[in-house]
Amino acid sequence: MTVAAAGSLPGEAVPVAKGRPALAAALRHPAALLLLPACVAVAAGLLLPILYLLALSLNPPVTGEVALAGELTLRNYARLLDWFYFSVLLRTLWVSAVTTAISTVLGVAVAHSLWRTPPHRRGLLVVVVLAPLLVSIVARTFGWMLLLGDQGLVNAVLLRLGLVEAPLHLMFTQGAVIVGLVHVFLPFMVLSVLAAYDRIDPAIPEAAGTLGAGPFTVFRETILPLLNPGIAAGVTIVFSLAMSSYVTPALMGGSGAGVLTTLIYQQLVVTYDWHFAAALVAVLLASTLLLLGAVLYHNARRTRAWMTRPGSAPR
Amino acid sequence: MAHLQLDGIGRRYGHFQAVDSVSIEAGPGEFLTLLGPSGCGKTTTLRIVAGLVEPSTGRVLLDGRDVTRLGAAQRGIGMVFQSLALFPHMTVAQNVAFGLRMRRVAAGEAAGRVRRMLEVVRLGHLAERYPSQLSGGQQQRVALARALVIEPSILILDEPFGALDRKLREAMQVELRRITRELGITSLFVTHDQEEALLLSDLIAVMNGGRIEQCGTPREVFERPATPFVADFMGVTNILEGRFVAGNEAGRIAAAGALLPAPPGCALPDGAPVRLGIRPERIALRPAAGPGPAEGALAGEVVEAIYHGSNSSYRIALPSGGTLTAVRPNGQEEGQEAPLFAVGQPVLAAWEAGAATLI
Repeated sequence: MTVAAAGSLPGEAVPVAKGRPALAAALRHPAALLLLPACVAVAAGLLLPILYLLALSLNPPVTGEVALAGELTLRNYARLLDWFYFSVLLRTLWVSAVTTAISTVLGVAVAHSLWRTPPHRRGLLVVVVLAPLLVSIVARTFGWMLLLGDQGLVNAVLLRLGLVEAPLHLMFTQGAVIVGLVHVFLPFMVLSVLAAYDRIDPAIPEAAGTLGAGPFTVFRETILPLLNPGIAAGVTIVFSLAMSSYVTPALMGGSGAGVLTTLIYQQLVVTYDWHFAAALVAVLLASTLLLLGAVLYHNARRTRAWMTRPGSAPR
Repeated sequence: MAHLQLDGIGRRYGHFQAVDSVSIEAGPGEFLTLLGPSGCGKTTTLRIVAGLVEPSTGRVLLDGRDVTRLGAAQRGIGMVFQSLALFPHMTVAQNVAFGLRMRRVAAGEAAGRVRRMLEVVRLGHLAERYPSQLSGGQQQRVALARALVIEPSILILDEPFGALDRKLREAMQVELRRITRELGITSLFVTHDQEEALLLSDLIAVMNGGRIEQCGTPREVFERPATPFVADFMGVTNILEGRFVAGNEAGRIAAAGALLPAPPGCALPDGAPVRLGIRPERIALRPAAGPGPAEGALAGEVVEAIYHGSNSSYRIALPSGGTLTAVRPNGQEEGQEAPLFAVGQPVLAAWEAGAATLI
């Protein structure tokens, strides 16, 4: 962690810069020093604690112990092979993937209609899209309880219409967690995709139209490929937020809808097993990074050929 | 190759009449240009022909068939957009092949047609490049090839050369002329550049305020502008209001306090009000010998002299209140150094009778 920060210290600058051309270049430009506070903050606030936790996960589990020990073991990770923990990992991945998929479909749809809206009316619509982020998570969850609870609005309507005989169990399920996550993460997807839409020349779908493509073909062949960068950004944001979300699964999920984060919280606060919690953190981090890495790598391969800046290619 | 006919086309946006009863025709293989300043309705007219905008009134006919209610995809029109609208994620060959793919042309045949079209626009060697890897002129030719490969009934071009620098634009104009003549395709072109229109067109329709002011061959529009607007747009920037004075065979025109030669062949009643148009480059200047007007010339004073290199432009204030603009070549003329005039210098402006037009 300290490589970036330490290398930037004035006292060490000269010897370090000699061996590293990139660092030397950065140091010749004083503007690079502006990055220093951010580097320090990230190092102190994120990298250090994570490294500490990863180290902790390799120590033998001792209830209530949070100091690092000299003994190294994989016992904490071996516990993950237990079907219960493994199923929590799978459920976390599943909930996050479904949340991301639904957000992508809905996000592209919303962004598409925003793109079609004249600019002077767009401002208000963007505020509406962002509205879920303006409401506190507790209020939002309470709203969903009013809607989805056993005595909630949805059940009341279904009962009144005679479509069901007993109230459906909608709240405190995996489905409720997905609904809650989509609700709050959708704006991130919409904004990412909208940014990609705004880089598309409006004449491109028209050109495809004059060449004989119907509306669906125009979308699939000319718009969707150009949205790729925006969708990739949105997927990255939504998937990592979903994987690490705690409050929504804790409040809206039932006992059978536990995910990694709720499990980690339990280990930290209830059973006070920091070593196992640290192992779970490592698994959460690794699975998020692996999946996103694969998605981004795949996307980059597909768009690398044409996403060159004008003039940067050889003549 | 088709016959294009617009019949009373109009388009309203709220209270704004963008296009107002436009009726024009282009015969098979003809190159028709809509010429006018920005906001004159030329692009809206073009988009109506392409099927991208629905007209409020009127009909669009292709070979006598009413296509007014058909969408862009059904019209079989090739269009080159102002922004080109190339598909950035497709190679040059894929861009050109797109229209053929939409028409379900067999892959083998399509590949052959794409290759031949890329030869026509001289891009055969760049088929596997992406648009971002091409120069502006090359991108232009890809857009042209993509529009032409589907063998459209007509080719529509919306100010395609606007973004190019002068040299490249001229080269592309010559190229477009060659290709459209070679393929004998009916073309509808939109521009605000009169030189471009004159160079490319068989027919020019000058538009202003949503209406067509004049439609004719480049020569007609250039030499006999029908309205002051067309005259001004075609570079006849000097317009004098006056009266026709019948007399000897040609007659004269009384304007700006002088008797000026009337253009040959005008037969008007004595005293008829006329507007006389003269191009700046047709006005000859000579130093005024003494005070007072000379026969057939306008006396005035140079109030602005701008040196442009190969020529100089002068603004001349007339005693009657108006101004004339004259453009004179610099350098050697008939073995004599052409005179340069200075601000404040009294001059006589004259022109041959045939150089002026009645508008």
